Amino acid sequence: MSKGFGDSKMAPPTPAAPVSQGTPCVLGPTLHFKGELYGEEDLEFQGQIEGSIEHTRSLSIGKEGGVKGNIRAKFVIVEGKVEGDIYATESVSIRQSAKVTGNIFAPRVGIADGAHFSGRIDMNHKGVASSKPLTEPQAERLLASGS
Amino acid sequence: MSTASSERMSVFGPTLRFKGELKAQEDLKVEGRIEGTIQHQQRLHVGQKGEVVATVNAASIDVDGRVQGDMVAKKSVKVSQSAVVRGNIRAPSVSITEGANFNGGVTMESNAGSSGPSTPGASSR
Repeated sequence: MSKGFGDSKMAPPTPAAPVSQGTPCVLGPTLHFKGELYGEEDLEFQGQIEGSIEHTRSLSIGKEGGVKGNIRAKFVIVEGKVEGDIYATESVSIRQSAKVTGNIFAPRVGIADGAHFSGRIDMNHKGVASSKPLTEPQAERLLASGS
Repeated sequence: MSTASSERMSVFGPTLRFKGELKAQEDLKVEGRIEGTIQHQQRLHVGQKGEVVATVNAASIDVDGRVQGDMVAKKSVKVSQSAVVRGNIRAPSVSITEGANFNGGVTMESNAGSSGPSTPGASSR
């Protein structure tokens, strides 16, 4: 039932979530996560996380955001710090303010002038195709254990 | 720097799932699912779609959704009509709206906060 809500990111006139109207869900700078995070909606992350992120949509790591661990998503935009590998099924964009240490696997990768990046980039990694089957069981496992 | 955070509170969206430890110092609304522990310095709002299976520490806690686990608040805990709570509550001020589903113990202590990182719910019952 929450599926319809997740599908239409612009739509919801639901009084339950007035803050997320039009804007993606935002996790603020004082949030510290330690563990696994799984999501299916556009997310702007400004907090700190130690652990993995499994995401099926667009994920943006904001200027104040920091990630220590691997990231999987459809689109990844990095403006903050990432220490770990980034897997995207569509694209990865490393912005000027970003500091990334790790490998990037995505069909399209952009690194802005001024960004710090050290690691490898693999654009024709068939693992993009295989990273998806990889994520799905994991996602399912998360879901299964969640419900 | 963190001025923006005070204007718009963080929302942990309905499709988000998190397992582990969460620490935060800003108002947070949970519409997703959190499993583990939550250490919060401000107001925590568990929305109608929110599901928390965790031990929760916060300044104040508002529950509209489901919580399974003990809650310790420095100020208050409010359990609204749509809430389903299984666990103990410890706070100086606790309100439970008629219609809410609550199973657990309530301890009203004014010093609940000062014994903050203690064992929640240990003294209840």
